[in-house]
Amino acid sequence: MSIYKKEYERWYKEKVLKNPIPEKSEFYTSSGIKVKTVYVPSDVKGKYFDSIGFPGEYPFTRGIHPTMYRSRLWTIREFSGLGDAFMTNKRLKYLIEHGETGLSIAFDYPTLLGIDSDDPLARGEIGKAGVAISTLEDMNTMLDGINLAEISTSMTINGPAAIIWGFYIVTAELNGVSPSSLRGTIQNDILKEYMAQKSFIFPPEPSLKLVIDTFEYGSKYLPQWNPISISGYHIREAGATAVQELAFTLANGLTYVEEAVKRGLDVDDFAPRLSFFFDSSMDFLEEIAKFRAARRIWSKEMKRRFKPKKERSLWLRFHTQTSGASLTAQQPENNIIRTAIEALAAVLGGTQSLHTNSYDEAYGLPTEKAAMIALRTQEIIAYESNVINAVDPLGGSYYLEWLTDQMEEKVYEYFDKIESIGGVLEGIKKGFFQKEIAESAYRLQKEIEEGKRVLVGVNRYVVEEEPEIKILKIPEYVEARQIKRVKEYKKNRDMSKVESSLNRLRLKANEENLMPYIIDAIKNKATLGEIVNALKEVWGEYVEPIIV
Amino acid sequence: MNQVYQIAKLLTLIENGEEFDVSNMLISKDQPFVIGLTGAPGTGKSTLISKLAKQLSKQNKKVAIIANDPTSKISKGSLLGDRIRMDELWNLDNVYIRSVPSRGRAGGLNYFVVEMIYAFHKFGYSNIFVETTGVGQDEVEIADVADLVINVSVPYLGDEIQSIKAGLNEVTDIYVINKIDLGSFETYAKYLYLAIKKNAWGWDPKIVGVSAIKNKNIDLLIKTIEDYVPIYKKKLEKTVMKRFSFMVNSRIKYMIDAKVEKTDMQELLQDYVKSKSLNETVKKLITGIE
Amino acid sequence: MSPEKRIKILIAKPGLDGHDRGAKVLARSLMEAGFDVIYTGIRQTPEKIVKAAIQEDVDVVGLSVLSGAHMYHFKEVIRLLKKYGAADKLVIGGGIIPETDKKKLEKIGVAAVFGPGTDIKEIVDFIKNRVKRN
Repeated sequence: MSIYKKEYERWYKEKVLKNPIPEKSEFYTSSGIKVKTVYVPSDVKGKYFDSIGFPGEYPFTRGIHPTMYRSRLWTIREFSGLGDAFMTNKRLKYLIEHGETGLSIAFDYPTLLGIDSDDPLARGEIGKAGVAISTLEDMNTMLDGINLAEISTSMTINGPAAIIWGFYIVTAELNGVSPSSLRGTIQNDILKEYMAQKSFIFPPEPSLKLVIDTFEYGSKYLPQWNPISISGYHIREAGATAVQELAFTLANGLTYVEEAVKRGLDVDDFAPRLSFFFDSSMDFLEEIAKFRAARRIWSKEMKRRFKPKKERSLWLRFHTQTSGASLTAQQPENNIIRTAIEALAAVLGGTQSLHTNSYDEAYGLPTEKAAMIALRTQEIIAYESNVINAVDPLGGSYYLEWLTDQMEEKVYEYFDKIESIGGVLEGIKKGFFQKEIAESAYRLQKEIEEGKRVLVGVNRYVVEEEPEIKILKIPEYVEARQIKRVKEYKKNRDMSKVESSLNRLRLKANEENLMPYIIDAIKNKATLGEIVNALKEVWGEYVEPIIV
Repeated sequence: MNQVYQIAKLLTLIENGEEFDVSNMLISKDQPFVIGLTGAPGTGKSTLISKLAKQLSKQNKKVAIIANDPTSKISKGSLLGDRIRMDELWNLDNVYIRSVPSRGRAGGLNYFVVEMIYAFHKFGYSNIFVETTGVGQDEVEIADVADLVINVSVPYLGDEIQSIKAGLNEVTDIYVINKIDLGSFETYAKYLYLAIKKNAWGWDPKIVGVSAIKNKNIDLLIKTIEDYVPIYKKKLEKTVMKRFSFMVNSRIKYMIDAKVEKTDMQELLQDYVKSKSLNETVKKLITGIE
Repeated sequence: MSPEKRIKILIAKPGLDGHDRGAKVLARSLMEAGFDVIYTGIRQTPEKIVKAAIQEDVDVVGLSVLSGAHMYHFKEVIRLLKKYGAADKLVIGGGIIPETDKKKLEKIGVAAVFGPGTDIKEIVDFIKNRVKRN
């Protein structure tokens, strides 16, 4: 037995068990991992050079770059989108003026589901959860006056991601920027839609095919673009634990790589451009451990399964968003503090870009004031706290290294489980992930109601009060204005050209890479809804198995 | 919608134990065609019913679906989860879906399922599907209520024994193997075939492989159901009597369950201690039912 | 066990919003509180919801919307319930709904709006108190 272990047991018997103030209870991380009183060197299992190593070197536990924020800060990228293209254009410029260094677009529900603003299904939903984009003109208006050669843009879009990407590419061309200079990301992670966010359109198989089309197209024509952001955020927000978030996200990622390799793509052609998207919630140290474990597991698995030649193909690059589900409607200003803690965890975890939530998000889309405080949160961490001075500053903490190992172990348990049920797609069909997530969500709610998990302002330190904060309201005229715009657009075009381009799309849907045909349809002025409907005709729509 | 509203209210009254007079309907020659569906959870019963109902609705038949779900013994509540799998039927004016909890009737079928069937029939519903909970004795009991029993199974759930559960092969008329789109099912079908028993009316139970979700072989299944109709007609009188027995039995169970629920067990125990005869104590309890 | 007059509740997600975590947790919790619960799933139209509510003769219709589109959908459901003579059903709501809209909704007939952080017990008690069987 190691001397540390021996001494720990001695110390525990003499000091802890005999302590006049006994420990209150047992302690667990938010995922349910039991936590000891204190951690010592013998708790860190792996050898430094095998499992921890240097930043910028395999297995990248300490970061994917050797100098991290000492060379370049993470990108401050605030998720935004509201009303129509005009309103969003204004907000984007406001954020850039106040220090944002990358764009991140939120779309409204009709857009997310490939429905044009003038469709009856869009009634009541236009511009309410993000910006309404139905046409090339909408995209152009939204990005007016912003130099796409100089800023990177992340677009949170999944079902119709390829089409929205098409809008962006054609808009850039119209403004004199060639595809090869474009930098950005489309979320385009359809697997997690079936598990958690539920903004799917088509069934899994053709959706996967379309995703791989984007990998292929991106590797050829947009070498600086990330064609996917493999997401854990939504899985977490739907109720999953940190362990589940990590396991399911990485499993999805490996599935995409497998599919692409099956198609015949060389892993080194697309893997360097895969990106990830994680949640950062309130269990501060668990989140940091999660990010470190993520990098380690991904590089190990990529190396083992696909044997890439480029080191870049092993990197797990990620964007983080602070957790929306951790915010409360009660005493909303408390959310500023929550977001700050979560943002700090992401930075200490080595994120490449970060979105901080606004404190009023439990009420609606962020007001300008709230959005600014969110920005300032990141700036204060970046410039005042000095945490960026050393790379992976918490590395070496016995607790953190132990927790990182724990996360890894539990993720591998899930990997085995997923394999035994036949893989990710099978798991989705069988409802495995949905069930795991629903169970965790239910358990968490019970813990809150029983007071086992404290939510300040909700089940402790409650105050009888009316919130005195201003809320953002999307004016009613925006919907009418957007509908009119889309109808006008549809009138001013050559319908025969639209039809023939859509026909080509239908014919080639299962045969070839669809990106060129999508771009062709867009250039012929087909709208988002029209392209999606054409594909629906070929591929059908997905109906989910119901798991409560 | 007016009629739907009326039926809805009537069904609620029936569900809550109110008497609904079906005496004349029982002796009438005009009877509904009741199809019972059994099968473990996850085999796709609801999706299958949905496809069958859609077809029948196209033939201008009025179709009712009574979907039974178990009631929790602990909370006494229930999560009625069959309806959502039949989403595509929502805009068919001649299809009515009603979710029904078992309310603790041992077995799984609601006490008053027969009354509900006739309530629907009264309003012109000729084809009535009764879906069992899939987890109880109702898998076998359904034969006392339905004209035709269809069992749905899936070869990949890992326990082939499912369909051959005690008594099931004595009441099933059609075995549907669902989700054939997921892989080969020949071995499973052979296995099933060995367990099949010919029924008393001379019908050789059939095995049909379908994929409800992909709409594969649904017409074949419908044809098989149509082939059964002559048997249905032969059996009809006996079936109605069985149905009546079920009704009587259930009503008795309901009355007793209601009485027991209201009874103070402590007092009853005192009674038993005094009388020394359980038979006497229980007889007193039963005759005390209003 | 005998059938007492149980309360039947429909939980629905109208519109395009797919965030069903709350609706599902609520459905399950209500079941554990002794109610008969039907959960419709996501992407329901007001028409579908009302039709189901009437066929199932529910006592309560619970609507969950997090996408900001609540005014439109809640209004439609209430309008259709009235149209088909089912205005006696209790309509409750949840999701991301600001205070000012809560008040507007209560005026048009939504009995209560339960925002983020609501204790399930509060909803259960509310329903038990408000639903009277005739």
